[in-house]
Amino acid sequence: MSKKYILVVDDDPDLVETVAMMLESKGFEVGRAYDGVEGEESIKQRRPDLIILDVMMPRKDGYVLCAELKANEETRDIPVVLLTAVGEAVPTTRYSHADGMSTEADDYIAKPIDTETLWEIVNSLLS
Amino acid sequence: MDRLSRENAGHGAEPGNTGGTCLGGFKILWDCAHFSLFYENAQDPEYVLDICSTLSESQLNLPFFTFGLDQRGQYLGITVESNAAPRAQEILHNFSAQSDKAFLKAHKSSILSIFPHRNRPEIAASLLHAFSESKIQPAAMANSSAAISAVIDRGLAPQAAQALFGPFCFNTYRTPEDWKLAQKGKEKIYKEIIASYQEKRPKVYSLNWDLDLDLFEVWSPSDGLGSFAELIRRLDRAEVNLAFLVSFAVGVNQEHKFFLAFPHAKLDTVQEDLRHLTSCRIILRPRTVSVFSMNGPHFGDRYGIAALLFRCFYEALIRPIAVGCTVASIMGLVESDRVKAATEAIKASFDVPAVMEKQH
Repeated sequence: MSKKYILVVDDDPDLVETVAMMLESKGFEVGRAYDGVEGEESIKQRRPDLIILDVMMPRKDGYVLCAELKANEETRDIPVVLLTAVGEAVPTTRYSHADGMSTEADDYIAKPIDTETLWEIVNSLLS
Repeated sequence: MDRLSRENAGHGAEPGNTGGTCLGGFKILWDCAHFSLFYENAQDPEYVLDICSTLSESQLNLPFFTFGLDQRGQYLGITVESNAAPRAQEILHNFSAQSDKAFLKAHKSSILSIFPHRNRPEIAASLLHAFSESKIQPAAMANSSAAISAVIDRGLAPQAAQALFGPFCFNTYRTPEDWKLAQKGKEKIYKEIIASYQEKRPKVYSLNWDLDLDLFEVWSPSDGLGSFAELIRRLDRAEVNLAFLVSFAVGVNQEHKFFLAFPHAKLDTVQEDLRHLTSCRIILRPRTVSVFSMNGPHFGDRYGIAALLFRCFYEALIRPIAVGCTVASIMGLVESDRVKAATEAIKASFDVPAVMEKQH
């Protein structure tokens, strides 16, 4: 059986590597992209089974990319998990957990990522 | 297999690109001040701890920090954003003035980071080669888990960015102009967000150990980076991972001092290749070392991380051999027989949900 392919998109390269290592250790194949535009390009080249998408990124943020994916018939079925470092409400930003929950994303994880929560969400969305 | 694997990380893979090894991207933190401090006393573990603690008490974030310890003394590379430069200058000047064995040098700088390196010597080699060709002397270098960063003269940063488009290609930046456009609109990380983390005990995703490595100390003359790069490139062909890199520019001649760690299993290959590097002085440390790395949310944006690390090691009587903090990570080298103690020390000060070990 072929491995499930997960795309991780975040402008923090160390975070991408950390999450990729976690996922690879569980047997997933992982693609890496470092901003919204690169993420979009990567999805065009190879359709992922799931996308882990940071919200605060240059060029195209995670909300915009998520909305575009969900508006497109070809990609709307790909599960999207949004990531944010703004776990608690910070009034000056729209990148808080509550804002994320209001998008069309399939789930939402606040950084620092709890590994167990990540497995639960990934397994649930891929099952 | 993704597009960065050894098999296809090659040459001109993307139509329209300039050629070279394809990377995910690069970042430049433009307006910084870098301080190089050499303390000619290897026996005083409190020196670096006191410096880091004082910088932390002044709430100075360190977007780049390197430390190295050898028989001669202690090397520090400290970079702050320009608005923090006057305070950092005052603190570091006070420390250097306390001893005639301390030598401080400061200059306006930028931090250039390319990613991901995937532990491939080829990436470091190409970066060093690009610098050598452009007559750029890095004041300091360090790797994180994904990136290689170099502190360069502020005035040469645009030239350095240009120089990357040759040895490297970037999937979504075909030209330097594309890259410049891509930087526009990047949202500033709000101070409130950082503040929401600042007072908390730092939580990391995991503590990762790369075990049983050999540590080489290499002194390269300032005009020898090109030859050094070529040699490092040979290690890539032999599929030797570069697990750790920090460097310092030292002395009047700005000689480059590198701390490099490679898997012990590849010792014969590394030694054979380094033998050809006749322009450099090389020392192989007799005991194996291990590298730890950690990253967490806004690790690169909050102050006090280095101070906390040196404090926990000091209290556990552990002396790190070298440390590098850049991008959003902190990495360090300890002797392999201190891994267990270092893990416990780190866990006592950082919130560590998992410890992962990689053995070669």
